[in-house]
Amino acid sequence: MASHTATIPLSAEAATWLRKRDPQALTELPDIELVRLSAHYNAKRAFAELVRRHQGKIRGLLLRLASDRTLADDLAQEAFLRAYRGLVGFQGRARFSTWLYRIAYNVYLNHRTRVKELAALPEGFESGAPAPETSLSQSRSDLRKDLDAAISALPERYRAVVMLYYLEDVSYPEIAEILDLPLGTVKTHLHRAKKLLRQHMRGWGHRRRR
Amino acid sequence: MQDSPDALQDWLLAAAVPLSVIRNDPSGDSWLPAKWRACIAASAEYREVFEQFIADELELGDSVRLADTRDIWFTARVVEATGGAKVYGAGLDPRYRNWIVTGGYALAIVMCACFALEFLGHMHGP
Repeated sequence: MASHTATIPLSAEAATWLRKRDPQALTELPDIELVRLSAHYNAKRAFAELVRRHQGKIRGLLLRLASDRTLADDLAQEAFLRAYRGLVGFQGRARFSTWLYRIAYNVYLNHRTRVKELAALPEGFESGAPAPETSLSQSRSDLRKDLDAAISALPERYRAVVMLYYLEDVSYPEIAEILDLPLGTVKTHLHRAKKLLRQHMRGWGHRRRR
Repeated sequence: MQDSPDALQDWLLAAAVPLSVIRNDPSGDSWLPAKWRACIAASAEYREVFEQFIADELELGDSVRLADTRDIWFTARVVEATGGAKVYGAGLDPRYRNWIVTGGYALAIVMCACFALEFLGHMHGP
């Protein structure tokens, strides 16, 4: 443990974990305590818990943006590394997930700037999307594939909004903060994106799923 | 706008009802205005638009949620990669950190002011 930690307060639960190192207790700590433990007490297991909690959605978002699973995982790893280096800068004013989404989105934008050709859809991008065939009927599976393709084909500014919106736990103001857009623009993007998605789906002749 | 199935579609798209609300109440009893509920009850055309909207929203939500996949090896890889990484400012008293950040901003403002004064001086000539 670092010796310079006296000025960083911890909750009683976090302090207890620090003494006993009980893995189960770690899973019950809130994000902000895990951040403090990781940043100021060099507790790698606390950071691992943060990664475990948030990796699914971060990787999912980047998969949709990058349309390539390997690339998405590389970008997600970079995002978590950046987050790790900047943990002290997280003050807990926003949710940790919002802060992390913003880092991930910036990592993606930086990557896209570095490699301009990624703006075009890579060959076989549909195979990069999740494949849920095992649990779906053939028609649902076809619909899902087309839906994946429709989301991938959305203009990028809409795709990010749609992804964050349908993740369900991200509010409009949080989407605006993550994407650095005015709230009104987020709503407009979402409205247009939903219309575009429906046009795609109708264009493919899909009807309701039941 | 006059009531029509298209107007209902536009309303549904613009209202952006959270997916969690739709999931809990796909019939719309708790969130759909009475005017639209009456139209849906009275007309098969409205009902089709509404049911299609709900089906699309649920499908989109499921599609995005399926992208949320977890991988235990991913966590291990990230933690391993942090081996050589440092947390910037770790152990720094938050008060000192704030002073440093504030100092940085203050310096930037002073520099901007200097540039602005210089620019204005050139504009007005000697």
